[in-house]
Amino acid sequence: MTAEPFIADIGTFEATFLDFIAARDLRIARWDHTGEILGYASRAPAPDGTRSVRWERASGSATLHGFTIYHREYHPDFKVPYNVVEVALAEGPILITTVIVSDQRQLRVGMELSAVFEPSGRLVFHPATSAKESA
Amino acid sequence: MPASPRSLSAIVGLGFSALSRKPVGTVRSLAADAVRAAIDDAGLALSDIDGLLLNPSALAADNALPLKVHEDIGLRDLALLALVDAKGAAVVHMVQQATAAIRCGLATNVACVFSDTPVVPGKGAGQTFAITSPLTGIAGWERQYGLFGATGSYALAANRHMALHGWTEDDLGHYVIACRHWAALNPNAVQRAPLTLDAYRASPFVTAPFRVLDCAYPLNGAAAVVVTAAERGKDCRYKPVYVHGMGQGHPGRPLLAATPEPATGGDLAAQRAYAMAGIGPRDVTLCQFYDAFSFTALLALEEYGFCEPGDSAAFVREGHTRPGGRLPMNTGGGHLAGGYLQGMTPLAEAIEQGRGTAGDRQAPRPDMIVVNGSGGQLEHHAALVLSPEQTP
Repeated sequence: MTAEPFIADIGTFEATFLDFIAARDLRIARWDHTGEILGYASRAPAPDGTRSVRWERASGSATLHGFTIYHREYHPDFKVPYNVVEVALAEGPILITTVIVSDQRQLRVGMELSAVFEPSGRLVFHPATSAKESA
Repeated sequence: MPASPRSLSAIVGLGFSALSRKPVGTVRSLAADAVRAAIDDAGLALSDIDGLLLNPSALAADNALPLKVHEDIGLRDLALLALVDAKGAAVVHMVQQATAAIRCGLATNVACVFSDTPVVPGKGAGQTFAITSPLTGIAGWERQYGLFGATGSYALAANRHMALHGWTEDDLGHYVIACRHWAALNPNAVQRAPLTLDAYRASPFVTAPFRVLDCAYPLNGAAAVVVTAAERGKDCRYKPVYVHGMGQGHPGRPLLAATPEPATGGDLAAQRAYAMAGIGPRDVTLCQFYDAFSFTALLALEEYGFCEPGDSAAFVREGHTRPGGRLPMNTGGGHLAGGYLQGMTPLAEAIEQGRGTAGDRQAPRPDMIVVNGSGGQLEHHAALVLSPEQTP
């Protein structure tokens, strides 16, 4: 766990998260003084008025919060069918990502997942039983 | 029915431009046409209008609906002129802002207009709406997963709600079918053919659980209303529809916060509008809900207190919102079958019902009408309580 004071203003909050992601390191942000875990879209100051957060390494465990399966191709980079999902990390925050499955019918809200970084560096999730590399 | 504290304003004019799936004009020219039509419908002259509120689509090109459109219309010496941006809630916001402006003396008669041209030749209407949905607030995050369009982000919310409450895809279909029942009675609806559950099931998925038929049917065109003081309403051409209550809900909690089920704000808007009108859901006789997708109307039934969480699917399946049902809803066919004018569709239908001019689809008791708008990814909500009856 690291405890890095940080000013959570717009832009730098994102940049820090993305820096960790680029290093293949999934982190969660927690208010330094209150201990409250932030959602990834959070921008408001902590209830005590401070704006200092620390970034902790996430366990990589998650559950499938919601999902949609695209059947209409909106961009040539994304061949249908593919899924876009919300995963609830074990620590609480929800992320937009995708679950790597051979058959989209395997997806179920509540299924257990594990975070994996693809060779490209993209963060994806696998069904917990088939995770190959924990984040 | 409890007495409303007082009527806040009156909606006295309703007008449309040409509406089509083909090119029929620019956003700007269509807006001007609709405003002129609404002013004429009210029996007013251009010189009577001293306020103009403009709502371009969130997806329209920058400056597609500029402030200078008032010059195109022929409006002079305006006391109020502004763009209103609140996503899918913006039409309701315009009526609320017009009402507030009138009541504080800033303006007397305010025209409010929405205009959009999403259907472009050679390009599917869905493609127009297929921009990346920025749910996380992290620049570029959703793009790497292909989360395009409101249809994707709303499908995520729908799927979650359906799983929590044990809904099936057919539960969305029953709502779409109910809309078709109403649309069959509306000569201006765009999808009037009856729909069976089998035909619904045969509709291709766009972003499961949403099928094509779960999505709004976009139109090129504009619609406008004229709002005036409640006491002046009776002087206009048609029976006024009075604003009795207004509310908004913007929870301010990030969509992806570490909370189990963040509130959408629909309940906040509803409770505030009900409180201002001095009513509760049991007093409501008619609903016109913003249904960019089938799911949003079902969710609104729960947020606005007509059903317990999760019970709206059964409520609709049992026919309570269809013609002859105890709570007629989206009586023109809604956005799915009546045509998508981003909030003007439900408001216009409420006005027709309140006036008693809805023809074959006229609801028997349009006494207390709830209209809502919602936008973003369900995080911005606004509501009106309307009635054909004026309270002092």
